[in-house]
Amino acid sequence: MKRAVVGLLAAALAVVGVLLLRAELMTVEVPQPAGSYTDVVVRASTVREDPAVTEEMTRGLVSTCRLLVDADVVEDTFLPLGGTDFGFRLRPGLDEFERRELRGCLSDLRVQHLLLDVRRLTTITPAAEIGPDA
Amino acid sequence: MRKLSWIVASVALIACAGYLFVYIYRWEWHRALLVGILFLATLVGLCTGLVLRRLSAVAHRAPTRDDHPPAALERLRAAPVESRPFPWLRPPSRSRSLDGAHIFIPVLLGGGFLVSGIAWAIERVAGSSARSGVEEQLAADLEGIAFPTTPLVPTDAELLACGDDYADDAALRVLLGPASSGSYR
Repeated sequence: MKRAVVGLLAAALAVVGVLLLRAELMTVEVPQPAGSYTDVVVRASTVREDPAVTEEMTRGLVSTCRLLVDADVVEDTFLPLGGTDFGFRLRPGLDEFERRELRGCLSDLRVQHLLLDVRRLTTITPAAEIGPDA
Repeated sequence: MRKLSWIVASVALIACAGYLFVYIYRWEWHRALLVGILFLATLVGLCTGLVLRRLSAVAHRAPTRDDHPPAALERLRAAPVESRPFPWLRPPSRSRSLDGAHIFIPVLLGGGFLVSGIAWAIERVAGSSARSGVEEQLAADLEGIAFPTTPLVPTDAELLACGDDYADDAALRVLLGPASSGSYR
């Protein structure tokens, strides 16, 4: 009886886990309105690396992760924001699923000794930028 | 100490499984791969430990009488003894009536054996006499649906050879046979 309960519990956990993963890993392409863009701000930290190369490493990681989503980094938008924070803009804007993918890629351990903390990742559409009153 | 090792291994396994799920959920594939390898390594180690523990427990247990199945002699001795086989062949005892029924079963068995032998012989004779005719008839029937001796469609090489450049080559037509005249079935 006890084994059956444990087995049922494990099976229920597995089913819930699979359903959660299925919902989270879905890659549905949601069309974004023309003129939309995504602003990203990351905080970089390095381990056993010269701080001078932090920006270069971050640029490399951003270039790699940009390939996973259907958007390009807008030219000259990769800027240091003070300290070890960097910001860049992607066009066209990313939908919800692409934002998850990009956040995971940037936070992942793809580049050795570099860890990025995604501080902001927001898609802005022209309507939202102008505001509802306009 | 041993118990502590089991607890640590189990906790590591559960933690690895949890982190594996979380990293996949967050799309962090590299971290998920690393934790997945750790999870597999922990799982293999834990399973190996379980098997070794079971083996050592079996090896260290003192053999008891119940460990092995009873020998054949013991089984024979434990089985009920049939002391009087084929009772119908024995002469009737005083308590039984002298009706002659004891001889009925052996006669029935012998008769069945004889009848079976005769039936087997008849079946063999009938089968051997009928087989040759049946096979000939079957072969004649199958002749109508047999594959043609020539191919059903020309091959690429034959089609190429029958092209415009060589269409009037009589020797080539003879060599190709039906392919050159399009007389396929």
